[in-house]
Amino acid sequence: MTAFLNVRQVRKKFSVPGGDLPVLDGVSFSIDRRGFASVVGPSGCGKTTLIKILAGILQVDSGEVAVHSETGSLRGQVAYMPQSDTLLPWRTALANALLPSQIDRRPHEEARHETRDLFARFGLSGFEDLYPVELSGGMKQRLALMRTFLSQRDILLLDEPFGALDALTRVHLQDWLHSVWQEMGKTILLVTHDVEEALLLADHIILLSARPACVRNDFTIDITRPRKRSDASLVQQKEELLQLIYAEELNG
Amino acid sequence: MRRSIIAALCHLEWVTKEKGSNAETLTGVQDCFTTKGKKSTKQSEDEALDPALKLGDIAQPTTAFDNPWSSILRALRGAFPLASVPCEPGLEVSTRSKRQGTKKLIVALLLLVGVCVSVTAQPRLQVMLDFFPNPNHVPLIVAVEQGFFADEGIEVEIVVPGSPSDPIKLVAAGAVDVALTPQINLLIAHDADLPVIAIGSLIGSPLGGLLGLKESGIASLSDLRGQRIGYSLAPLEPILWRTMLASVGVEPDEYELINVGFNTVLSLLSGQVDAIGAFRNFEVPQVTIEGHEAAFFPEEEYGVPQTEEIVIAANAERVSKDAPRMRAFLAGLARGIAFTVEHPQEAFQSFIDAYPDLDDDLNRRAYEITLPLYSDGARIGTQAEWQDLQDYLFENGLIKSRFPLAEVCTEEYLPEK
Amino acid sequence: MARAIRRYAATLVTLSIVFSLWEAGVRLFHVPAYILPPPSRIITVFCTRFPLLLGHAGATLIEVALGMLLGVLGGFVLAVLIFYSHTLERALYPLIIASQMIPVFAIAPLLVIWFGYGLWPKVTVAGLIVFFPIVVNTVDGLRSVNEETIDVLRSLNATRLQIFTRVRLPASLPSLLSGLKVGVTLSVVGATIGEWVGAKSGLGYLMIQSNALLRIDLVFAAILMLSLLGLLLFGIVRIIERRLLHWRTPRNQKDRRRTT
Repeated sequence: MTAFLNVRQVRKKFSVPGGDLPVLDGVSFSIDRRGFASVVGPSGCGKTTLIKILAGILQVDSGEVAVHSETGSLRGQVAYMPQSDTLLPWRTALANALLPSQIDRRPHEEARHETRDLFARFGLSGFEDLYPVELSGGMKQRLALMRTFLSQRDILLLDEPFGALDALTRVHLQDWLHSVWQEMGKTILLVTHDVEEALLLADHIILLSARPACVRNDFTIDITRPRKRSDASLVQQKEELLQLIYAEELNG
Repeated sequence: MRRSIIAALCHLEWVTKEKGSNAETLTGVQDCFTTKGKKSTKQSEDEALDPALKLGDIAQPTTAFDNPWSSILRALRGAFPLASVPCEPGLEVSTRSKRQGTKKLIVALLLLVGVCVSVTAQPRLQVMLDFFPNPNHVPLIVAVEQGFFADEGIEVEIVVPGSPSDPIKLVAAGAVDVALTPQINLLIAHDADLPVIAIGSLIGSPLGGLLGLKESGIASLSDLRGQRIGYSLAPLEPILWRTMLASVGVEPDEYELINVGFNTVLSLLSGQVDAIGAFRNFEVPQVTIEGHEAAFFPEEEYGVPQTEEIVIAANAERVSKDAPRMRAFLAGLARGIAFTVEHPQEAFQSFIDAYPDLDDDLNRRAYEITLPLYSDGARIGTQAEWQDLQDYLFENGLIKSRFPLAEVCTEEYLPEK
Repeated sequence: MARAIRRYAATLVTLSIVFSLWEAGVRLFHVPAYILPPPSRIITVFCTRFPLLLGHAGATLIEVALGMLLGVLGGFVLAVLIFYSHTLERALYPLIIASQMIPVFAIAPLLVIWFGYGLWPKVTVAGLIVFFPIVVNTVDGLRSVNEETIDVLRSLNATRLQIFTRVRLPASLPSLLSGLKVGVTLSVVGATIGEWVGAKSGLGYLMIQSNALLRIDLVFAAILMLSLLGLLLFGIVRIIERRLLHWRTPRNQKDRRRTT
């Protein structure tokens, strides 16, 4: 398959008091259409910066990002879900989910129907009229994910979507994300610190080095789906990956 | 919110800087630890009621409201006669109003030591002016500066009010010993059951009237027919004017009354109104200095009974007990008046020495106009005058009942002619 | 009824204590009524002169309402401008702060010259006084948005207007309403002070005139009316706040007591 999302030699530095801080130093990788890729690496290596560049929020200093070989900012072509809670507290769950369609100025009724239908799929039926303050952490994450999916973009950029959740909820949501991805055929880039999660979900893991980051390794994960956490090869690869990350942390 | 209103109320009667240190110089009080401390004590207590005090030099009142503690202090003062604490000139106490911390320290020390009474052997007398210091007060200031009060054996402290209605209230409440106030106000206050009595007079004739500008076409009082007249306080001003205008045949429905707050000259000069209530020795020279021709109509020439613009009010319940101080005060004041009349330039110089920022054209002109009007010998007017005025106020609904004159004024404490 | 009493029991008890102490104090220390009237007298006057007080309260209320309207609108617009432009912020913020320091009597002559003695000087003073808290609070409210939320919208290619209307504006409401609560009580004071510049009616006017006539009980009755007015307006803003910000409290946890 031809590469769908291409990242070539992206470099980015920030000016901080005391000079320049190089964060990304020649990051390159590509993702196939309908692929699920995951970016992992030591903490602080620039994963969020990378994802923001892909989301079109930050500009590259050099290098390029391309979709379908159209280079330039990906703004408007991707759906981005940041790490923190970005639900609008004054909107009901339904209204929150409708936000992207309102931005895109899609016809209201049609958007509403589509959205309502998804509530069941995302395990939130019955909660349409609740406000974020009335939802649990897991529900909020699902709602945020739903909103991201409802953006009608082919590429989804997810920055640690399950980071703040408890282990049990995380497990459920990982399984669920997997099934939703397969069903809806989106291209997903998932940033995570949870190596097991990456192995469970992605076909392709990009390991970043410590700051300034470049791509240290680029693995294709061949374990057949559906994957189990107890799977021997998964566990083994997890150990290897953790060793690599640990080594990067020591280096950085 | 109440406090901000009260503060604003006091603040509005904003007056020029009354230099605390000047007041002290004035009364010849030595910069003594306890004297200042005592003043600070009063202030920090008063502060609880009157936040305007916190405004430093700009605020003026010391005793805006009476409070139980000052009464207690006074009682204690009476009980413990004159424990003389030696004056400590070396002890630098920062001048009033600035240092909160220092004030608190002083209060604490005082409480430890016990209430310290006046350092000097002479009894003190607090006089509250009727308004901010102005040439009306020259004889009083002269009496202080030239030591006439000291000669009579008392020490006089001059206090500036926060609002024009304060003096009569505070003397009635016993917070000050005597107050300067217009005769009309005294009668009204007495009618409102305030225990006040006039014991003397500073300015024995009226200063008020209506003021218009010649350039607006006001030549005679009847030219105010169909015009707008600005007032500050109802109902007194409108009633006086009604009398004045009626005397030239102008009825109340033929002119318009507009409340212009306290800045009356502004309303006149900006053309918002065509005439204002004014003092012949203040607003009149003020507009003249601004380059306009004043058309002034004295109230007494248009049917308003003779009034005394400034009388000396004392607390009716205490005055007989306080007789020696009252006599001393009036004697000193009478001398001050005599001196002023005989040596007008020197007198004004004394005044300027006490209030240097009043050394300007306006005050000089005001002084010239006022000079002939000081009450000879500080004497109050005739019984007939008081009676006529009381009748006038009664007929116009400004007082509810008429009182025997002995209740409202007395000559008992005046010096011999 | 019983629930209402229970809710306000603490307030009623406190007020009763305050008034009792006041009444006792005034009697015990023989404080003259023309200095500080006892609450019994104030309440009596309040009741007997209620129509008078109500009439003047109405006049003040109009000034407050108009002043608030102008102050809030103006403050809001200025806040938005300051938020979006650093240059304007640097230029205007110091001026806005300085404007708060100007005592009314200093600008009163200007107001008189521009507006005469009608409604507008009071409306201006009432509006000016509320202006500052509105500006500060609205700017803070606009800034309070999680920037990552803005990132999401940017990545969707939302326009600046969309970001403003859909995110920043609603996000600034809590702060703005907070400022409004403060502002509305300040505005009442402002209108009162404005009346001292020159008025025919209003509680401030009533207070000055009563004071001159030594009717201090009426002055305090007017203050009481003013307090009630302030409470009423504050309560109205509270109700508006609860309506607009109902999304802040979980409906299934209404009885939960806050422990932190």
